[in-house]
Amino acid sequence: MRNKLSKIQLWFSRRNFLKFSLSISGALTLWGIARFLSFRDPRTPTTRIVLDVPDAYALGSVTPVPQVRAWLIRDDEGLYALSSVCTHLGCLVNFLNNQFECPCHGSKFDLNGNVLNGPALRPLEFVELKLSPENHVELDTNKRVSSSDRLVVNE
Amino acid sequence: MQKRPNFFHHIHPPKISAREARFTYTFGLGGLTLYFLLILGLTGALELLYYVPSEAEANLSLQLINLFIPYGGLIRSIHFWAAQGMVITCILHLLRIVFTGAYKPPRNFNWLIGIGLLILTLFFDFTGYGLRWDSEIAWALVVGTNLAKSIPLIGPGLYDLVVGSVAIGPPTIVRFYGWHIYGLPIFAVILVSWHIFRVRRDGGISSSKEKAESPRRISRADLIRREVLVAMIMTILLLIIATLFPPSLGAKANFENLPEDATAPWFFLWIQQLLRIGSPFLMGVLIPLIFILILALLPYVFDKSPKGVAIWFNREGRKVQWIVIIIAACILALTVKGALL
Repeated sequence: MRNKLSKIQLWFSRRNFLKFSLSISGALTLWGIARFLSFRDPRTPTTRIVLDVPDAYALGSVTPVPQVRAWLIRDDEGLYALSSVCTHLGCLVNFLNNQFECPCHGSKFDLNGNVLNGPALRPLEFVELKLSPENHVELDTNKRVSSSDRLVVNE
Repeated sequence: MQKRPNFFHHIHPPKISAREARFTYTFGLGGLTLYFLLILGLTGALELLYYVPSEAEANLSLQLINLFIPYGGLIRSIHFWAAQGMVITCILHLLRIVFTGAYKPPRNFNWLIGIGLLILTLFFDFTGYGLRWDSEIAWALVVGTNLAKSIPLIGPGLYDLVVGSVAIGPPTIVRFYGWHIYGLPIFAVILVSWHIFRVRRDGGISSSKEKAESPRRISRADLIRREVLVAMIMTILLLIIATLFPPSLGAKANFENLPEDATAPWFFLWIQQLLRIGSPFLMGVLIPLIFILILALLPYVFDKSPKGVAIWFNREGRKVQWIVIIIAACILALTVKGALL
């Protein structure tokens, strides 16, 4: 007469063993594939650029900085920079008739980045401006700043 | 021993009803779509020999195909025009199916496969368009990939998967290339074979039970003769159009200095117009998805009656016909608006 199978032996039937190993190996494979797909190319577009001295930008001037997708603007209070990436779907805005206009879907923004006309809902982003050690304007589109920040120009 | 019909004989039975084989019933639209697909496969295979899928060289290799390789410009032009033709015949084929009630049971499942093929065609067009990597397609690439990103939850992951980096760059073109020449064709081969197989399995080209009194039938040889004739006429047309109107090719795409004009490719003009109205996810993803969902559900929700098959504008399918007319009119109106702007 055969011995009675223990609980563990019962659980480790051939079927359960196969089910167990298949699900483990399946899960590990999926994990591997997910890891494989998660790689992101580390080469990123430049976000930082050193420009001219602050005095070079006249009052009321709007200067394109296409290398880092931004606009450099000077008003009464000083210099500031707006990202040129439209907040609707990421197209780059043009400067036409004293306002920024998106060529893709027609959003319009004023000189302070505020939405004048949809479909964009959020204003253009203000990005960081500071003085480099050589007293040049340094722009970094990776860093957002408040819309009241200005780089004061001393003439 | 009786021989079982091979696949070719399966889709070309010894005899088919003359009424349903009339050109003015099908307009040969399904066959033409398949013809374009074959031409695309052939010309695409030729282009593979010279196209270099890299950010630095893609545009250059296309200029090379256009200017230096004997008949290279013509091959590329045929590929381009066959792709445009396929979008058009796909859509007309869909409309023919709707207006003759050919989506009704038992063909409702094949209708679903057809919808899948339409989506596949648009993905083919978009990825192929991206492979030009010139200034003309740069905007479409930016908008298309950002649309994917706008989907809640899965959007950012999807964007990484499609773009391969934080912004469009060298990995993007490799991925578009992979999808265009490998990923999508796998689905296409499976779905197209299934679609054609099901045509016969569901009883051949949709035919009317009510009007079946006429026993006239045409033979396999006659059917093939007609197919060859249509293919030959289309070949001549395609060659003329491809010679006279070569597709444009701009300078290499520069994603820092994009051109001022941003017009979507014609088959996505309607989505571009929708996007002018509102949020990317709602207008660019949700509304097109709802259109597709409504189309897919036509034989399952809006017209389940098997009656009226093969009758133009049959009474039973009125509701479905109106739904499709309204959707088509919306898309057409938006497309025209986008083209005129």
